[in-house]
Amino acid sequence: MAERKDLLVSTLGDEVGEIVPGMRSLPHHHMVLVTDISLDERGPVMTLLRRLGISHEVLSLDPLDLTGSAMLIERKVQEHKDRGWRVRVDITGGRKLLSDAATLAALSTGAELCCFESGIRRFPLLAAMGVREALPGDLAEFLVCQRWPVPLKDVRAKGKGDPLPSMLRRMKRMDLIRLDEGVGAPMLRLTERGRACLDWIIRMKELSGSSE
Amino acid sequence: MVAILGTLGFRAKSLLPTLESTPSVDQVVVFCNDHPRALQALAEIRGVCSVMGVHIDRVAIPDAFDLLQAAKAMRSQVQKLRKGGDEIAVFNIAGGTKMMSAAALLVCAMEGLNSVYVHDETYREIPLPLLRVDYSQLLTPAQKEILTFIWKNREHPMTQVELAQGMGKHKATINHHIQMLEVNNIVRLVEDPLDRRKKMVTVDDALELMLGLD
Repeated sequence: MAERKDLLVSTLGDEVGEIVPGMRSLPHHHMVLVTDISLDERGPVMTLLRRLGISHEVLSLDPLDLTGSAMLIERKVQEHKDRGWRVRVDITGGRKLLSDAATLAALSTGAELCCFESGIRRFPLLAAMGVREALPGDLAEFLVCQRWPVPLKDVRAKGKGDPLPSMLRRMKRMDLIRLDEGVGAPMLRLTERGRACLDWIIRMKELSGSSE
Repeated sequence: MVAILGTLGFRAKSLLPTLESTPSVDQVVVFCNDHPRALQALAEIRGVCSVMGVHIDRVAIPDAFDLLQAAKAMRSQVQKLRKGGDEIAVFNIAGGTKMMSAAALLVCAMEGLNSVYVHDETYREIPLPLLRVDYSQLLTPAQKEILTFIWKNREHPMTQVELAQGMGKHKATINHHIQMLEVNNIVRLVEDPLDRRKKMVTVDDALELMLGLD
């Protein structure tokens, strides 16, 4: 059986020392450095990685775009997971936004989340299982294809075998939609969470399209 | 009561937009440590809450760099609020240390809470696409039983054979489940330092949080 490969994704700021505990403790065949600074080829980080012979790449992110950063990390993680790699995400280094983006990506893909204090103490590992599993593919597709809001009368007019009412019930249980009985006809509208999920899916699709 | 939760660091501004934008909020629960600048930011939030007539509670996070302890404190507070019949409108994760923010994200995913980040420069709120991830539901009953057994006996790590004996299960059944759990990084097989032929099944402290075993 072929050996399973390990990817280590590490967030990185100005301190090279922040990625060292992860590099030393977590198995890796390849590293992805997630950063919002420009890395000099002759600087301490790149020099260290070259000297140690560690296969690596740099993922540069916009420090002000949390969702966009999370998506780029998620895509990188998912690419490796699809090829059968085991992925660990070390959120110790860099600024908070990078760590939050990496945490979102880890939660979304079911990658293992790790962190280390800047000293020598090792934090517990958190084995996550994935938000991706919480939003099934059919619901994600429906969320994108449906025109929002949906008038309640349209739902009531559907026949017994129509999948729309059951889809909407599932979305209501997940707090993706809510019933708005305010001014005018009652409507099923996306909640803040529903809009955030829709935005995420659309941006992910755009991202996939732009790389093809 | 409608509550909003928030991690707080040195800037009150990271939490104030949520206080302003959440309709009918009655209560704010702030998670912060004892750093003088964090307490100063807390005083600022208290001032705004007092004017708005909103009740404020503070939950102290003794070690703002300990992800697991911070997540446990936050999850416990969420469960306490829900038990008391309070509705949690949103969890603002923008303030505090990196580890506090990451802990809040984990708790939002585990408890299915709406979460929001506040942009560093524009102070605009950004809702995050998190859904409820119930780790205990994603595992089969057999896997949960095995993990609970390992967790309860974590002081004495066991091999797969010992696990099977301890649980009164067939070795092949245990092997199958352990293999699945290992693939998902939930358990690790670690060489026994006293006998390198043996592999002990180990779990992380975080399992307690994930499975709600506490």
